[in-house]
Amino acid sequence: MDRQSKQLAFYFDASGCSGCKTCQVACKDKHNSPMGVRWRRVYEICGGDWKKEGNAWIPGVYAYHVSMACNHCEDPICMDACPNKAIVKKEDGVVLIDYDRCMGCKYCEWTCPYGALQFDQEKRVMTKCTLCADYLEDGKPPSCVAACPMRVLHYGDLEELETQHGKFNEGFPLPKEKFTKPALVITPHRDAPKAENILLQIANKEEVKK
Amino acid sequence: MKEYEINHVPPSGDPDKEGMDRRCFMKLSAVFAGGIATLGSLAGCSGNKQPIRLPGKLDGDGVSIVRAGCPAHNCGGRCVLKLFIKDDEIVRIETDDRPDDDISDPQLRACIRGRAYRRRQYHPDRLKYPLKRTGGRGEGKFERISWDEALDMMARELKRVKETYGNSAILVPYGTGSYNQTNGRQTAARLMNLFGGSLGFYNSYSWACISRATPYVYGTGVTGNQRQDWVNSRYIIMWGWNPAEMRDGTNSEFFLKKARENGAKIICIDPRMSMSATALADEWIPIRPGTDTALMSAMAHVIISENLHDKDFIRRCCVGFDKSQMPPGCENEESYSDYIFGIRDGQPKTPEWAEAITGIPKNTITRIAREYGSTKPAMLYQGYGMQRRAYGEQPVLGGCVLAAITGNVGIPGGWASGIALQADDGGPFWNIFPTGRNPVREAIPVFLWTEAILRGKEMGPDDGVIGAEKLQNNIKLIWCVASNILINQHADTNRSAKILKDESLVEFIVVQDQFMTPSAKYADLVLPVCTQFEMWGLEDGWKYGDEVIIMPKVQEPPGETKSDYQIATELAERLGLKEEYTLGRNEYDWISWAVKYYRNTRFPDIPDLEKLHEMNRGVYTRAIHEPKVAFRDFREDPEQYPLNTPSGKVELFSKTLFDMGKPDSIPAVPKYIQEWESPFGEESKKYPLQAIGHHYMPRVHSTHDGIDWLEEAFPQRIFINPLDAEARGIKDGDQVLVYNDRGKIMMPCRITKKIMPGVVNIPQGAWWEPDKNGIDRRGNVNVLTSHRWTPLAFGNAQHTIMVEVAGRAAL
Amino acid sequence: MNGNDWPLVFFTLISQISVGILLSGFFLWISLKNSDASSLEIFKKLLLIAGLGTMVVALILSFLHLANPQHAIYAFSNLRASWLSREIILASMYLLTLAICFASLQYNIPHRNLFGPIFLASLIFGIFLVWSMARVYMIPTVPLWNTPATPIAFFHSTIILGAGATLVILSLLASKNPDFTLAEKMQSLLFYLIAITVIIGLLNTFLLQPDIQTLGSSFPVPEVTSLWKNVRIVFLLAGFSILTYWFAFQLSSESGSSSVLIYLGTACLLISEIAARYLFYASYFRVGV
Ligand SMILES: Nc1nc2c(c(=O)[nH]1)N[C@H]1C(S)=C(S)[C@@H](COP(=O)(O)OP(=O)(O)OC[C@H]3O[C@@H](n4cnc5c(=O)[nH]c(N)nc54)[C@H](O)[C@@H]3O)O[C@H]1N2
Ligand SMILES: Nc1nc2c(c(=O)[nH]1)N[C@H]1C(S)=C(S)[C@@H](COP(=O)(O)OP(=O)(O)OC[C@H]3O[C@@H](n4cnc5c(=O)[nH]c(N)nc54)[C@H](O)[C@@H]3O)O[C@H]1N2
Ligand code: SF4
Ligand code: SF4
Ligand code: SF4
Ligand code: SF4
Ligand code: SF4
Ligand SMILES: [Mo]
Repeated sequence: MDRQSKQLAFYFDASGCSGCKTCQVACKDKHNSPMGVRWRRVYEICGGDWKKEGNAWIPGVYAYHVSMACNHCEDPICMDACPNKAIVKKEDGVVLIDYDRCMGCKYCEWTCPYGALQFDQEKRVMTKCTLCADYLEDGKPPSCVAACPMRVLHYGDLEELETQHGKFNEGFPLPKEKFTKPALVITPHRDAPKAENILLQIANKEEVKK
Repeated sequence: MKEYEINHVPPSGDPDKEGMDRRCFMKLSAVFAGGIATLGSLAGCSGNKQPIRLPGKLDGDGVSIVRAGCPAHNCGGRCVLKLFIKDDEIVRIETDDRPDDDISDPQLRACIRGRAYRRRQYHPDRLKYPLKRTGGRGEGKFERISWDEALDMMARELKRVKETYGNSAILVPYGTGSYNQTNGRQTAARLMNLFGGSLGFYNSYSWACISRATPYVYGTGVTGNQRQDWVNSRYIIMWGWNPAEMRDGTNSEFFLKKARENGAKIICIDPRMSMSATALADEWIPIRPGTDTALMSAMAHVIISENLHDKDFIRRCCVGFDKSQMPPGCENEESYSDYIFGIRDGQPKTPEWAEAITGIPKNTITRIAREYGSTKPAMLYQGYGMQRRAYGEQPVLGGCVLAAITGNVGIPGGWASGIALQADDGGPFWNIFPTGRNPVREAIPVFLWTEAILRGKEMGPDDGVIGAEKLQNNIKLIWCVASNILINQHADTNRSAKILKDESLVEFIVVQDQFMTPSAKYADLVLPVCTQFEMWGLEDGWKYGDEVIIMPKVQEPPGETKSDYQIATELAERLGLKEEYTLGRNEYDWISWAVKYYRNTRFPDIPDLEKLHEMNRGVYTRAIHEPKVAFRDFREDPEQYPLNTPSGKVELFSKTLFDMGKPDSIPAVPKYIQEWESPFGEESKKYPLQAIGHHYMPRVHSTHDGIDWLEEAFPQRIFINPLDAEARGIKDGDQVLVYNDRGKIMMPCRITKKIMPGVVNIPQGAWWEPDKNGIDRRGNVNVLTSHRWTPLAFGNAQHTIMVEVAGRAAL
Repeated sequence: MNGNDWPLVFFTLISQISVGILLSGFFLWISLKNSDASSLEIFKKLLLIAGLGTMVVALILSFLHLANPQHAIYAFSNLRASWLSREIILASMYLLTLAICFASLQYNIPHRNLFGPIFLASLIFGIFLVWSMARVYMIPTVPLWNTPATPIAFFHSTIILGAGATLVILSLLASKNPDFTLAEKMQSLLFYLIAITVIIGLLNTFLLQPDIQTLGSSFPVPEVTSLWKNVRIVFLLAGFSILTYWFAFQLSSESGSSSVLIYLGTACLLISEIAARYLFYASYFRVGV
């Protein structure tokens, strides 16, 4: 799919994310999300090893955080999956779910490689990040972006963000971009490239699972 | 909710063509089943015109926006919240939305706790009515009573204890639940002081060692530059410092990020790979807990032997560096260099030596010593966790001395270490609500209050008592306001519980809180307090910052809750002290007064409260363009601007400490001393793991424990290294038993490589929840901590403990 | 596997049984075209009733799986891109044509003569239904599903269970209806069908499985207990052995077949397929997070 004339996107600077999860809760507060629903989640990635040499411990430990919401993909696999056309993409690139069309089959949830789609038991519909479309309309930044104490979360036009920060939107634990073409720009943490030679893992599974 | 109109055009373009494709695909269906096809295409074609409801869209009608200070609760920060209020209810919380252009006056962005505050504010378990104990102490059985009954009872007990024993039998214990002036323990302290006083205390659970020890080196606690200066640093050591999680003043983590962007290299020395280590540091150096002074000494060894020390600064501004510099009367004592090179004890403090103690490879020690010794200017910033330990004074002194010998004192981008209150004026006040003078002159170290219950009358200077030779009383009445110290936050919970249970010791206990905390369960009377959103308040920065944050009352107190100030006022009335106590002021008047107080002290330009409220920014700030640097004058001209130490100089060797005559526990130069519970001691055979309890993101101590969104984000776990877990047959997520001679905890574990082998971490502050066998089910580290105090500061050494962890297999 | 997926296990299997019955019927029908039409009539009806019944059950199950059934009216909206949408419309078409087919036979509505073409249409819808059902799971981000093994497995279930069900119906009919002379011949045909399918199924299970290790995943690939794997294989082989035994017995003996063996064998196959489908859902994991 060709790039839309306008495509909003997130920028996430993983090198400075502390994993404080303020973004996660800012989103929950704004949307009154029930327990278990986290439109923005923070993955704690950890890998490496400890070695003992004589009296010394040699730490070969690598760790960083990835804060993830919906990436309002250019090629949203979720949208193609939904039989109801309950998932739509606006002119500005924002992907939204229409609660008045969703029948709650949860099919889309299987497809999204970013874990963005989360079923809301109370509302009985599939839900996900809206990029705070209502705030954007009022000229306000998305809630999570304005929340980040480390100022590592930003949003803007995808092309502009790519010019500013380079084109990168992969790295463990994210999928290759080819699947959905996420509207996302990431500055990787210094430890992220280590994913090549050490086994990195999501260390806080219980905090990000559905 | 207003509906949000959008025209959802699919990305491929023309909406009219949509239905067509569909029919092409299924020609068959059209032939055989016109009915369904029509239904299908009807649904499909028509669908795209209807508007999408946007979740989270607030209907503007009737919503008012108030910017206010976060209730904070001694959290390490002070932030602005933007409250959306509808029908007397906070329906949304955002944060500071002032411009955030540069670091002179950055936004005071809230953390996860502030953002989740609605879950605390509207928690179903909030106390609503006064309660009187019905069962035995600690059983948690209560009945509802009226305020009149409650306050009459309290007034009666206060008078009785005062008459029977005297005012020094009353304690208003340490309590950090609120610093918004009209809520919090200060309101009770003021009333007690008018009532004839209560047993005094000094120190804190936070900073006992660092606040006590720093002045031995520098003569003051004001050793920190303003934080805007951090961007001038080239090399920063976060030594046991975790500002990304404990904040240490809102924006500290952000200033560090800026410093790094400006080219500073940052390293973090901590047994855990903390949030700060991942987000702010270029390198994490894990250290065995309690061995920091060994590392500092080895660094000094490298720095001095490689001639990297600042000889000029040492010569002009310090004493005690070597034998040429010893204070009069101590010429033949062990100087700092003597200790480092092992002149007296025969043990040079080499990196090899330190490697065996700290677990840090000697090459790493040498490298960071060189880096710190040669990169100018450099900051060595000490956190407070490592001084909440046995001999916690030593790393404080050690850090100060390292900063001094490398000449990082009094220069931009440098850092003198120590407690580092902000230059020039010591920074924020925290509490300005006037508590008055305490007529009871004797005071104990804050950590020793259980001793004062058991053997107050025997306590004297050896127990840190000041103001009298001996205490006159054992503690007989406790009025505990904004504090969970009685049970949860003090060391050795089982011991505290046993002491409090005994009604012959403390005869009456009142706890004033917003929740039925473990401490409240040990009260005879529980008084329900409103939150900081339900009355007027004001706060300033936590340690750093140049701002005043106002906290307007945004909601009526629920049930029969009252502010701490209101409770004290009504009690004052019963004690015949209302006039003196209130001076005719209500909460708003006091906050108005407080704003004026700031105008007369730190902020001459601050507008009136009324104006501040009208501006609705939540905060008054003073932008810092030229950050102050501590000891600048002194460094330039030490003779004209001497320090407040006996020598007027930086004391690497302290004669005052020397004169105490306890060289093994209070040496005159900073030394590594093996802790009383240590992996090198006998005790490690039985309890081989060191346990720390760091200050956790989702809580402020015990405040916020059990708030669902916070628990979801950061569940209470014991963190353990895979090597230790494997040796015990423990799998990630298992319930494990953590124990030592003082108690037992059963809790789920998280296996993580981000902690050093041999060390476990049970984040402090979880609510004690003993089961019928007395095993804590929630994970309150204080079940395991020791009541033993540090030698010089009489401070809490709660992080120094050894434990064992057993997996399911071993149970 | 997610507990929510159980309705899907049964929805897919039961609708596949339905299609399988039709397929088997068609297979018998063309194989025995010149045979006695009147005795076929009742058999046809029985098969149609079975096909209809199972499909209705399947649809009810799938409906119950929805959180918001009232919005199911939109489920045909995305035929352009969504295989699920296609599956749903095909299922509806299939059911509708099947119903018409039955009506034409039973009530002469629209007309008896139309039975052939409508049946064919229904069969084609059914085959496409199974195909689309498989495609629903061939999600690019779900590597273990996105393989040819998925449609093969789905058709495998369709044929084996359809033939099994038909075999059962046939035996029931034959036991009530001794003059139903075609039964034995039909049974043999169905047995061959099953035999071929079992072999394909085994090949699919062992040869076409992607190597999980090489796929990489952030969350661990769910560990399916070997219990379920064993159930799958043991019951498949057991069911097939029983049917083979029955078949051999039938060839050699004069006294007719023992229906109990058929029921038992088919039940084993059903259990095996349920296990296989459970394993299928349990193997879900996607790339990314
Ligand atoms: N989120 C949050 N923030 C808070 C608080 C809170 O409860 N929650 N409390 C506030 C209050 S009142 C205070 S006093 C401060 C406390 O602030 P600190 O006392 O600085 O915080 P701690 O987490 O106790 O310790 C900081 C770090 O020291 C490490 N540490 C422990 N032992 C050692 C050691 O022996 N050597 C070294 N090098 N490091 C060690 C810990 O792993 C931890 O990462 O935090 C304030 N901020
Ligand atoms: N093991 C271990 N123990 C520690 C520490 C450690 O590092 N390790 N840290 C120590 C440190 S640094 C500190 S500062 C102490 C803190 O210990 P405490 O001062 O006891 O702090 P909290 O546990 O937060 O308890 C504050 C209580 O005040 C209540 N509260 C909040 N707001 C108000 C209000 O407006 N009015 C009233 N009346 N009540 C209110 C809260 O509900 C809560 O129950 O803990 C110490 N304990
Ligand atoms: S708020 Fe910012 S620093 Fe905190 S977890 Fe989210 S992205 Fe990371
Ligand atoms: S991130 Fe997932 S939910 Fe969001 S647009 Fe992409 S595929 Fe869809
Ligand atoms: S759950 Fe809702 S949004 Fe997702 S595929 Fe089903 S109908 Fe579409
Ligand atoms: S943009 Fe809005 S909806 Fe999306 S994660 Fe951030 S706060 Fe949540
Ligand atoms: S740091 Fe403290 S004041 Fe700031 S939001 Fe968090 S809890 Fe509130
Ligand atoms: Mo503290």
